[in-house]
Amino acid sequence: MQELNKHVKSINHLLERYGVRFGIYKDGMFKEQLFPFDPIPRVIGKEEWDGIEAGLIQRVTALNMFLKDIYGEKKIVKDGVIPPEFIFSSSGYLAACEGLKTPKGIASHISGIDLVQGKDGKWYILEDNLRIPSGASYPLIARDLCRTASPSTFAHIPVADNRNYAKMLRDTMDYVNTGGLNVILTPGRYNAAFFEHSYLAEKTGAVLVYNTDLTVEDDKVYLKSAAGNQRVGAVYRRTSDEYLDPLAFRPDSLIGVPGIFQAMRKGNVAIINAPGNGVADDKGIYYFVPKMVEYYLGEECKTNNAPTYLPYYEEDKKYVLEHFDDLVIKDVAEAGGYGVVFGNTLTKEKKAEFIATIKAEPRRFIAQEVIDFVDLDILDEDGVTPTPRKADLRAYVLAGETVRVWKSGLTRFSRNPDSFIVNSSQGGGFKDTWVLLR
Amino acid sequence: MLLDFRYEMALDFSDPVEDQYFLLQCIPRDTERQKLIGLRTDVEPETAISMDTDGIGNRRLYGLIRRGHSAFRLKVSGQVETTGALYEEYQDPSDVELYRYIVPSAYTQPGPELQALYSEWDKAAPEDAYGRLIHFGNCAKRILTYVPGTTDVHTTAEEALRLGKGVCQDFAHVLIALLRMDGMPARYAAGLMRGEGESHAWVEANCKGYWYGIDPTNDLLVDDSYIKFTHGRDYEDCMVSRGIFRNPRAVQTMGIAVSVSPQQ
Repeated sequence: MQELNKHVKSINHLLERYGVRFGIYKDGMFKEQLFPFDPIPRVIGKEEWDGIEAGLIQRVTALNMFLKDIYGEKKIVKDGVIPPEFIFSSSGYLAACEGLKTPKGIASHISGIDLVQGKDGKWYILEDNLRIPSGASYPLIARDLCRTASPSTFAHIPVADNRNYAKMLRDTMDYVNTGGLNVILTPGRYNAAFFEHSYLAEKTGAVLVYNTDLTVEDDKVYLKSAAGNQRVGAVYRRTSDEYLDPLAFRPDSLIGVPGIFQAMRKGNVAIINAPGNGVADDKGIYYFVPKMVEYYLGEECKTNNAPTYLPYYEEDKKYVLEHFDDLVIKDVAEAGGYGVVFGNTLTKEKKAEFIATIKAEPRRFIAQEVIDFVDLDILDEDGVTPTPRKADLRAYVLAGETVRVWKSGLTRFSRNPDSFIVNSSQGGGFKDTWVLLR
Repeated sequence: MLLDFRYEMALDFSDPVEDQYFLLQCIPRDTERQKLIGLRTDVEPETAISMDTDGIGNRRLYGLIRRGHSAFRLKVSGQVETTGALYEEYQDPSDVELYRYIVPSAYTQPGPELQALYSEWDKAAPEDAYGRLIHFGNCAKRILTYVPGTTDVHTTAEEALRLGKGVCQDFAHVLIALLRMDGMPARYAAGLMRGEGESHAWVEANCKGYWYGIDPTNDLLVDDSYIKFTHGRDYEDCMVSRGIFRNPRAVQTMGIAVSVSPQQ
């Protein structure tokens, strides 16, 4: 394993040349930055992984059942498990999706589930990402480069090969495809994950398209080409719901495909992931996921949520106000590490202001115990000294004929030693994730 | 009463456009108060028109014109039989779907102005639900002045209230916000009113299970002279027309003409 450390410079150099980077909008400016790779992998043993895997399959199965239920009968609400306010006031709930039937009943085909390992050894789910979770290409390409740099490392350590991601993704696309091509729809060059869109298209054999390459006629989607239009059966879109179709969502979207949503409603195309999934990965809904598992599957939830409080409930509000300094408060409407406040970091005035907001809009916030998660070593700038940093893991769960977890994942770490926020938009780096076969 | 209605849209483009997609929600729903009897659509340039109903029961028509054109005309006309029913439909007060119309939506999110207005009007409000509906229904007209052109389709209830001016869309949003603050399910309704001019918007509120129509712009209860196209949480769910075309140089001029008259 140490062998890889010697190659960190050349691997990062290659990542840079390939254009492995991510872009962020900050203060109205678009900036691209490199996503530094750290050569020390996160290693997860077989037994430990088996536990994680079983939990994630159960969780994503329940989340898909929830999405089908919410845009249909809403039994979980009628049976009093989730209060209706949490559904209808979620910014991810899309009225346009009412009555929507997705091909094969799958709404979240690609789920990015963020986990951390606590110092108690237990894994906790931090967040479910069911809209357009990105990042799978990073460990994929990094592994590839590591194999090239040090083939012997992988000959001696029984690491699960992660090159099957493209195959898994393709299987998922094929399974829900309604007849026609698979395409990956990118919002364009300036999207934060453009590199990933083109890389995944190349690896899966799907056609990488911009919105103007697609056209909709008679509620069917076509890829325009000089040789005649070709029918499209599955669209892995990396454009967010609100910009997907100006006839269904934001009317001013210039990066959408007019009519694509209606084509989906008619059952003529699969959109991966389905629009409207935001209602299930809403931070307020997170609290209810273990209840969902019990409700739909009749099983005890195998994954652990971080202990979470909803100020919406009087009892929880009281607890949150009493233990404010020990909690992390999250605004349910924000994502990407924004809108996250650690109670103990606020000044007296800010704290009073914040508490007033919670009292006025309790539904807007959740509060969680700060999980003391394990540090992972990263290689210091000198390239020799291991230094501990906070890190999380994004696991990728693909739903097709069966629900499968990719035996790898994106381990992100914070660059700042004191920070618990590891989102790439907050300036961290990444590691490969090794799942051992025995 | 048997009403003839007509909704006409004229788009003129400064430069020919291609691939024009259009989607209109201007077909009356069937309710206890109204039934659609006949419908006719005419479009120029000629193209196939598709019809459909969305997940909350609103009807719409849509189509596509591929070839280049500089003018678009769409005429939707038909007959609606309106009855003397005072309500649109019954929906049990225990139905969880009603929460869709209780939580604030983008256009009706209350800010300080709406909160202050609500507290003030709440003081003089009667006890019973229907009485409260009428009480708050009177409010918008006393607070807002009808001035076209001061607000646009993006104006929220809070912003309109700050301006003190607006059009029917703003009157409706303000009333919806007040009723929801009062805990009463309230929704936006779009359609036409007897006479000529433009399309109209008003409010429906669920009072003990019955959805009543109330028109805050005119301070009237909705009767057999109204034709409803759609209802939803706010303007966003009920936008009468949506569309997009190809040609970044083209500037679009839109004209809308509507009329509703009793059949002779």
